Amino acid sequence: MAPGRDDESAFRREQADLDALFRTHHAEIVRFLAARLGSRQEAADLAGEVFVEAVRSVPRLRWRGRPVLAWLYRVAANMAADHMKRSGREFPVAIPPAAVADPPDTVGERDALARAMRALPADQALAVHLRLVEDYSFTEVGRLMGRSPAACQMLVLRAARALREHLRSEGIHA
Amino acid sequence: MPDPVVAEQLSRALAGETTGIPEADDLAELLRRAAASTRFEVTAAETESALAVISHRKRRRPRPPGWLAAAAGGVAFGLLLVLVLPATRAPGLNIEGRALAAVRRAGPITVLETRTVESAGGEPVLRTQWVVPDGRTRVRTVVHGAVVQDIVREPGGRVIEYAGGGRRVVVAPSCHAIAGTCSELVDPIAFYRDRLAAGGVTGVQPIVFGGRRAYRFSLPAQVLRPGTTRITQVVTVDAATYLPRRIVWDQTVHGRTTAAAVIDVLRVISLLAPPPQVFHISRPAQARIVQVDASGARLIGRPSVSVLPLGRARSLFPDAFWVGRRYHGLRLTGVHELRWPTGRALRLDYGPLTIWSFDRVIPPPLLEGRLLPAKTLDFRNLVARFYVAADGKLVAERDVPGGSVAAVAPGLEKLQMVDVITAARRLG
Repeated sequence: MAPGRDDESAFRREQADLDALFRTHHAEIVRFLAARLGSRQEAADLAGEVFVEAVRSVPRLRWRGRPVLAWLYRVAANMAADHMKRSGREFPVAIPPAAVADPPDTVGERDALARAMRALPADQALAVHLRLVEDYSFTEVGRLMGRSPAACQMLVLRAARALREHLRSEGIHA
Repeated sequence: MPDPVVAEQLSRALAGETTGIPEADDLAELLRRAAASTRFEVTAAETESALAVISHRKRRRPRPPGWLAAAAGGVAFGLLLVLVLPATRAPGLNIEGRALAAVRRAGPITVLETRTVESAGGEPVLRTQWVVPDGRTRVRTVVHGAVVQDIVREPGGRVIEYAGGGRRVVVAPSCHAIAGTCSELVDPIAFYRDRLAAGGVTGVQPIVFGGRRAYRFSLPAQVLRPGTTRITQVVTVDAATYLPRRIVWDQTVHGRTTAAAVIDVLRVISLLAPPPQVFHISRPAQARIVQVDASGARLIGRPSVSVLPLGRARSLFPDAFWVGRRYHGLRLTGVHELRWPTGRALRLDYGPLTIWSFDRVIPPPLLEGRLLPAKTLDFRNLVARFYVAADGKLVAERDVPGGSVAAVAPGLEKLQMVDVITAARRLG
């Protein structure tokens, strides 16, 4: 779907009101970073860095047919990649064990899934996050990623198969 | 099976459909489990806390935020309501006390018109705001003679916004769902009164402004962290009337002060009742209507619908309206609750007559018609607006505290509809 005047108008509004931009998108950027880093606290810290960068750069962005949120995700993905390179370590599971004890099989699969999600290529991880966590439609995912909806569907399919293979390699059959 | 076909089927499975293709269904389930751990909630408090942390690292913005202009309008508004005071006063006397007392005597309905020029440049912005004590507000912003934004906050807090550039009308459960809207709807009286009540008027001095005697003083608006940013209103009031004529928003960053916005107060009108059509936005031609959820990013989606026993409806919806178990021979035949994550509605069916009570979400059957040009009737101390629903039935609707009540019926005349809407009373 081609971007329209209302999209550009929304882009301009977000450029002009950075507090509103922060309030609107902070939560989903934190969730995205938590999935990439495996730590909610680190995600919250890094999300702050993303928005500091946004304060510097968003007012200068030029309208290229994509919302400001697309830029936020790109910066978040880059910062997450840098952070992972710098720390160079095995990341913890995304969410600490639940207060109510889970069956061992569930815990094992959940940890394996979290590891597998972090091992996904950035574009597949983003497509999965946008569709499965934030509930955007594939049309919206495509708009945010600058791809066609069909291409995004393929990314999600590849991600799902990669997750399945990862689980199998750990002896877990989904 | 080719991958693109599997991918498409997977997308259907993710949408909740059963595809009959085992791989697509299995992968969809796997993805849901994988994503579950990051579907956590980030609370508004966490977001506000994070925002506060980064605030001091921000560069100075090229234009003041929307709330700044709105709040500046508030100063103008409040001061303009000051009653005519003695013609001569020495500066340094209790100006803030008089101004505050005057604000507290303000009339119920007020209309404020301002013209704002921002330091970052751009065209002058003409802004008209209507404010009613029950929370209803309308703000219309005009640039170059064209409406660029028109916002109404309705009972219960739901918001309807038309953005001129966007060619769409957005209906949202609250102003938080639409970027920048809450700041535009700042209650100017409350903002000004709070600042004035907090004290801190400084630097009162007599000046000549536009050939007339005037006083100028400063009023603190906001201080971020000590040593970072300070925002001050510099208000010029007429020496004869004490009505403000200009408000300048000064922003001081690291000791350097610049005027962020200059607001000229054009007109203030005080009314006993709002004009009937003021709080109604009609959809402009070619503009489409979207009703979004609290995030503002998604459509509200389909409601969950439950059939309720009448007693249960009374306890769940004590503020809803009905017309009794029978109305002119029409028996109450159905009670349905419609619930969205951000709002709810109660539908009472009396055969061909339906009574809706709703708060933050407008029931979809009423939405389109509600934003068409409507006729408003002020009758028996009751203001009702009439429009035609999507299915062609006539609707009479009135505002009630916390929401709206609407009667939908085919074949009734307007006065009969007025009878229905007048007969409606609280369910609880």
